[in-house]
Amino acid sequence: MAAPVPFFQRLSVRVAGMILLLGFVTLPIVSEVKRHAMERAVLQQTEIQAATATIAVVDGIQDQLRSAESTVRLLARELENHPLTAADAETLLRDVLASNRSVTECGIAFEPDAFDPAVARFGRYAHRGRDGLVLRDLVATGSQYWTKPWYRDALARGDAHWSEPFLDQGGADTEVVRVSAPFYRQVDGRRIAAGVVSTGVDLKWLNDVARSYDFFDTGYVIIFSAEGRILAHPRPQFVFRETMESLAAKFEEPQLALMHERVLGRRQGALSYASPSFHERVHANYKPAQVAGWGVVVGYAESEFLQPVNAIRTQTLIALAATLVLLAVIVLVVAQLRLRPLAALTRASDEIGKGNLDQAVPTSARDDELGRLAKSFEVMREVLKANRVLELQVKEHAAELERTNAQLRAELLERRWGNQALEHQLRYNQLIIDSISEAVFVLTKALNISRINPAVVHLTGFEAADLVNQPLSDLVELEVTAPHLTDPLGRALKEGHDLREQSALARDRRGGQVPVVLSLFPLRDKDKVVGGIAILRAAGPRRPELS
Amino acid sequence: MNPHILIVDDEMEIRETLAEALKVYGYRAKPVATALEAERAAAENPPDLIISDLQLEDSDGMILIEKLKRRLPQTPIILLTGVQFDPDVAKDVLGKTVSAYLCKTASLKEILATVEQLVGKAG
Repeated sequence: MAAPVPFFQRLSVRVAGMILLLGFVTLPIVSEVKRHAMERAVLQQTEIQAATATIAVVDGIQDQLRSAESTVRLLARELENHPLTAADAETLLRDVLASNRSVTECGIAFEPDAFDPAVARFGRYAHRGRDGLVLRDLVATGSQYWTKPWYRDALARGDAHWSEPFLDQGGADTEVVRVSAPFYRQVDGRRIAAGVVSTGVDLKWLNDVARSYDFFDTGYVIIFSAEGRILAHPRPQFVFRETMESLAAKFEEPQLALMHERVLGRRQGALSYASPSFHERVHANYKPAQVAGWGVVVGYAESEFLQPVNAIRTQTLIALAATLVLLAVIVLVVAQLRLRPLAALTRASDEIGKGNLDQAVPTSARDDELGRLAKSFEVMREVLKANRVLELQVKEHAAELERTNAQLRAELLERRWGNQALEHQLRYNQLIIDSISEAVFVLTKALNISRINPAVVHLTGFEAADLVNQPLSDLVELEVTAPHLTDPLGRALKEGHDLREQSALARDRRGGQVPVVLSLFPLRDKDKVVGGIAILRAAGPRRPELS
Repeated sequence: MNPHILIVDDEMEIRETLAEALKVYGYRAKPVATALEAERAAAENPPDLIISDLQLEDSDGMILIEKLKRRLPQTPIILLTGVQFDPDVAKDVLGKTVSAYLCKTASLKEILATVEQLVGKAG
């Protein structure tokens, strides 16, 4: 039985793992792209609101200032063509203050001799006091109004002139901004500047305007003058005490000075930056007012609007992650169920791999890839099994052949060894015979010569070829000692006994005779005489050949 | 490892045939022709068994056997001689100094049986 596949190596677990991995890799990217798009949409929407708020604040300021400016212009027009008495002037001032609650002060001042040739200078000033209206004679009080900017600059411009906001000490004792305008009279057909009228506007309403457009939690409004003086700010301690430049330096926030500079250039726009004074990233819209050279900044912390986006993003991430995990679990379960036949197939193929070709591959009626794979495995197993049978048969044949070969080889070696032993034996036998100094003849049963040794050649001069198969009697003749005995050699051999030391004469090649002593010994194979051995020993000097 | 057998015989056919036969049966065989070669081979690779002829070209076989016995006292020796000796007499006289005596006319089977008896079967 094959060991089960470890959990983390299972195909289903890997597929589920890949889904999770893919999801957790792509999820942050998709989420980040989505978050970025949402942030852009939210910020764009907020920017529109901020821009709208900026316009509203500017419009509110302009309405107030234009109202004051209109009052001054109307007053100037009124004075242009109507002679005025001191009482008229005071009445006029009272009427202005009475009719316009935002106006805190009002003044009329004439050029020398313009009011009355008898009077060098004439000037009246009225302001709201604690106990009611207060009237002052500017000449009697020695104010030298003709040296003041509100008077001088209005004449110089020839049009309405707005002062920088200031604390009207000794007057309304409040922060005011003054608008002054020259008025003219026709003298000898010429239009000559006759004096200047002015009104002062209390700036308390500025905070109301700023607060009324203070939108959302982090939204704020800054209103500043042409010279950058802070007129409205979420931190009251900065009002009138700081300028855009001083705050820029104090908080290392150069964007404040930049916005002032752009407002001076009559430009409007927006900046987004990390604000040290607000301790977070802010978006600030700035816009110049058409009156007095003032500017308005409406800003907000971006985080306030991005917070919901981040919350949505976190919730989306959690929901997607949970969905992914659920999907992975579903894939795991479904894959396990669908791949169960594969596990059985794996076990079967493991067994086959170990050589157990009798292990049947579980096939099913499924006609999907797994079913076909199982059928292919089964076919493969059958082919392997058939191959193994063939292989075994071939091995058996090969072993049989090898055994036969070994046997043949052993037999050949045995035969070779036997032949060598026989040859060895024969060689030594021949050696023994050849080494004998006496002439030795090996004889057949019929006393024919079958073999000789070298001593025969030496004794007779005949070669083996001359003597082999010749009767011994042609070469050797016994000297008869017993006349009654015929053929003693044949008889001895026939009877199987030795014939020793018989005198004889041997014929040599040259026809001479050699006296010899002959001995004959029968050759026995067991009890049967198969031949004989004749030995000749020289017994005297060679006799000359017969003539 | 299969037993290693040193064969000493001055007749080339005899020693080569015997070596081949031993190899067929799984033994490691080293055939040499002279006593000098035999001493050198025994020193380089001590054999498990020595099969020696009695008559060598450069020495007497008995002298070689004595030398080899001094060098390798535990190694069995088979004396394999030719027909010039009377087998029965040689077995009694020469066989006392060696582990076994065999005549060259003995069959290979007989020789292999003696080898197997002395050093065991080759794997």
